[in-house]
Amino acid sequence: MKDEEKLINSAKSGDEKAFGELYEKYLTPIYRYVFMRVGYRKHEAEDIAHQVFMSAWQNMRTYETQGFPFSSWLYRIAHNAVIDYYRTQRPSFDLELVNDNIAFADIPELENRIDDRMQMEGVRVALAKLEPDQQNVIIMKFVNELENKEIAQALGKTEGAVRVIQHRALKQLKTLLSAEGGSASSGQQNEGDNNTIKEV
Amino acid sequence: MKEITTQLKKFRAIEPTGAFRDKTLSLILQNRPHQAPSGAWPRPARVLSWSWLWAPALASIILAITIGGRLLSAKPAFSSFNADGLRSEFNGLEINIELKEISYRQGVSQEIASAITEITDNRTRHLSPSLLESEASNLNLDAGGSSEIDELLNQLTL
Repeated sequence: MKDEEKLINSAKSGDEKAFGELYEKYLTPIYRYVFMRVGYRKHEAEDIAHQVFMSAWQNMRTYETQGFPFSSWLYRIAHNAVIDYYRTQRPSFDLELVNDNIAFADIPELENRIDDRMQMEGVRVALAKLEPDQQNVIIMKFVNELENKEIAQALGKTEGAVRVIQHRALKQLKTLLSAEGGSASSGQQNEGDNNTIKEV
Repeated sequence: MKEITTQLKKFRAIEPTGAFRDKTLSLILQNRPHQAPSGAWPRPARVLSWSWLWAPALASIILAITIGGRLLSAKPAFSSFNADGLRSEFNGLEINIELKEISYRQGVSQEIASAITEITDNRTRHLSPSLLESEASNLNLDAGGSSEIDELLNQLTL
């Protein structure tokens, strides 16, 4: 963490190399968060992730630690960028209808793991049905593994509020996945696939 | 519930492409971060951020002016709490009151003097009651009546 503080201070004084290291560290989680929030659309996610780091670089001098990690600041910028994205370019498509082949096309790790892709597709569809705040908390907490304190800072909420949102989101997700699993199991059992979402 | 979190962890496989990673960093670094304006006058926020430096300096200047002014001035800075000062002020107050009384009395004496002058002056004798009475007794209202006038008056009134 002290190394990161040094990097932040150097980046604040305009050190490109220091900012490059911070970029390398945080690009993937920020990109992942944005990608999942904009309907798994690669180009939109890339544009927004670019905007996030551009904004961070341009405003590095104004960053103050105030007891919160640098990641919270980046997530806050990303969160606002996603809000702006939906405000200005409200997508006309239904997130549920995005084909899983498109959604996970650029994930080499999943290329040959059909089971994983199917399970992830079920979770993706269920996740898309949650409220935006619930999606934010679930992605930050369980995908990017942020602390509640960091999530609270990024979303401008209290830690208590984050815990409540998390609890309700998981409950909702469980209900949705159970429903999905129930309907999916009948079709998938015919294909002899035992590793289906109904087990969730 | 644990199964859901396990499923969610699989989304960690999502990563940006290498091409995007390299290209976007170089594009970002081409843009210089926001700089403070290099004008003759610094921004207020920037000035305030240096307050820890100039606040003691400003306080020292004010203190120096206050002490210097006190040393140069013959009058004590807190003369209102000085007994001598208060006494002299009180004496000055009495003098002021007496001067006001004198000016009032002067005004009264002038009015009396002008009244006496008016009474003794021949030009104002017509105001004397005794003179008015004597003049009234000298008047003969019945004498010198004209019969023609009386007749004309009777005609007008009847």
